[in-house]
This record gives sequence, structure tokens and C-alpha cells, in this order.
Amino acid sequence: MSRRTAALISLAADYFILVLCVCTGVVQIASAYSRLNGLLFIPDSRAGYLIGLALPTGAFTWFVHIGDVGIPGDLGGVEGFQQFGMFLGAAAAATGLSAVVSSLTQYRRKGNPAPGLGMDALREATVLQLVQARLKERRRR
Amino acid sequence: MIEADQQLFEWFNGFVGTWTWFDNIMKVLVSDFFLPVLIAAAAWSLWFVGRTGSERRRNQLGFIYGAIGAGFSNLAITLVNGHLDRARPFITLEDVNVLFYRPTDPSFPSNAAAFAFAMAAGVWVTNRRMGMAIGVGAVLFSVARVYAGMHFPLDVAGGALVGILVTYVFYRALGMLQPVLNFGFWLLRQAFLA
Repeated sequence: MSRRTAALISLAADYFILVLCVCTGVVQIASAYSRLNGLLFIPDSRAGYLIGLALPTGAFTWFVHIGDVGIPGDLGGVEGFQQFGMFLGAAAAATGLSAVVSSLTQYRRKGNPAPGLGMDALREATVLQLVQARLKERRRR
Repeated sequence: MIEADQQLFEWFNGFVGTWTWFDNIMKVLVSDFFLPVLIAAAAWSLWFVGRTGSERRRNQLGFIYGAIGAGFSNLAITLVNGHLDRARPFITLEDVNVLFYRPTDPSFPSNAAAFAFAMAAGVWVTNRRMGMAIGVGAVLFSVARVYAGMHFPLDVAGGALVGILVTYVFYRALGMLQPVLNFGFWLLRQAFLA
């Protein structure tokens, strides 16, 4: 593997981690604002804002610290369309991660799952609780 | 026009080195990994924002318009670059102050500006306040690209125009595909994603 390819793969992986952390933070802030408690890591809107600010701040600090911002001139950066694709992938991954983590951290919390409401159902229940409620509904039928 | 563009670039880029603190701010703003990530993340946040279901759906449409506009602007620029290959300022001119890495793709139209303005335009259609905020980010990003020696002013103006026009075209086209969008949203609602 050439030096250029290795550097670009490493940069792309770091970029993906950066965007994953930023998007996870954004999901926490947006969920806290919209009262989608079922997506919060800690079911408290202030904690949601705090985690949402800490994650992107930490991610940007880490990214600058490891030196990826100062890519050598002859290597170039990650191309625009690659960044765009990775952003969409990382944003989807951040949503999945938020669903899994919030379902685990709020496992013991009593929810009020109403699967028919779409995303609004996340105000009163986690994704896991909603999936369980839907499966119960299907079994009853 | 090209000469005026170069003169404006030389004047603006000539300020590099005058204030170290300002250069440091510009080094952050010009980075591919700061403002573009913030702009896209701000647009993405709208997917979850809305006190009511209909408000959230409007916001989600804004993100979809912006994302599709940004993606197709990128494609449009790739096509334009197949016929038009304007060299970067640091290749064309002497004594250009470059604050970031030296990109290897053509200078006109600016891909960075197209992406940022496409996102701003898409979001602006459904959420004026967030659209304006992203628009400010897009302007800062574009100005920083010129200051840092990566683009001529005409490149970012061209990129902004491509981004806004392509997004507008897809906004109109998606308006005609409402049943398809409705079906997509119905599917996402089944997975609690919309």
C-alpha cells in the first residue's frame, strides 16, 4: 500500500469517527429540544444538551490534536463526494447508536410505547420498548 | 472579468500574515473538516426537530432538499470540470499565501461553496431561521477559501450559484414526486425514524 493510500484511509477513518461523534451529539441536542426522551442517553433534557455539546467539542479537539487538519500538501484531502457519502453513513450510524445506547441506559425505565405514532412515539418510550410493543401486538393478532 | 477576479483575490489574499490571530481563525474556518461538518450536522439536526409531527416533517424535507441538492451539485461540478479546468490561484499566480493543504481538483466552480450553499438553500425552503444560520456558515466558509488562497472569488460565487440552482431544481422536482415522498415517510415511520 502506498504512503498516499494509507494516509487517505487513515484520514477517512478519522473523519468518519469525527462525524459519528458530532452527529451523535446533534441527535442528543435535537432530541432534548424536541422532547424525544426515548433517544436521550440520560432521560433529562439538560443532560442531553450537555452530552450533545461535549461530544462534538471533544471530537473536534481530538481531530485537531491528532493532526489530520494539517494534511501534507502533496497528499490532498478526502474528496468532497467521499466526505458527503461518509457524512450520510456516519449520520445514519449515529442514529442507530443513539437508539441502541438510549434503549440500554433506559432499560429499566417504564415507558408508554405507542408504535403507531412514528418518531413521536419516542417521547414516551425507547426504540427497544417500541419494538417489543410492536412484537406483542403482532402476537396478539 | 477574470483579471478583476484575480486582482480582487490578490488584494484579499494579501492580508494573510497581517494579523496572526485572524489567520488562525481562518485556518479553522477554511478546513474541510470543520464548517462543512457543522453545516451538514446542523441540517441533519432538523431530522429530529419539531414540537409537532407536521413541523418535524417540514424540517425533514428541508434536510432532504439540502442533501440531494448538495449531492447533485457535486455531480454537476464534476461534469463541469470535465470541460472547464481552471487552475487554483497558487498555481496560476506567484506569491500566493496558502493557509491550508493544496487541493488537486479544478478551482472553478468551488465544490466547497456549492455544497454549503446547497445545504443552506435546501433548509431555507422549509426553515428560514436555520437556513439563514447555515447560509452565514456558507458565506464564512466561502470567504475563508478565498482568503486562504484556495479559490478565486469567482470560483466561490460560481459554486454558490450551482449549489442554489441545483437545489432549487430538485426542490421543484421532488414537489412533483409527493406520492413517492409520502411512501418513503410512511416506511420511515414504521421504523420510528420519521
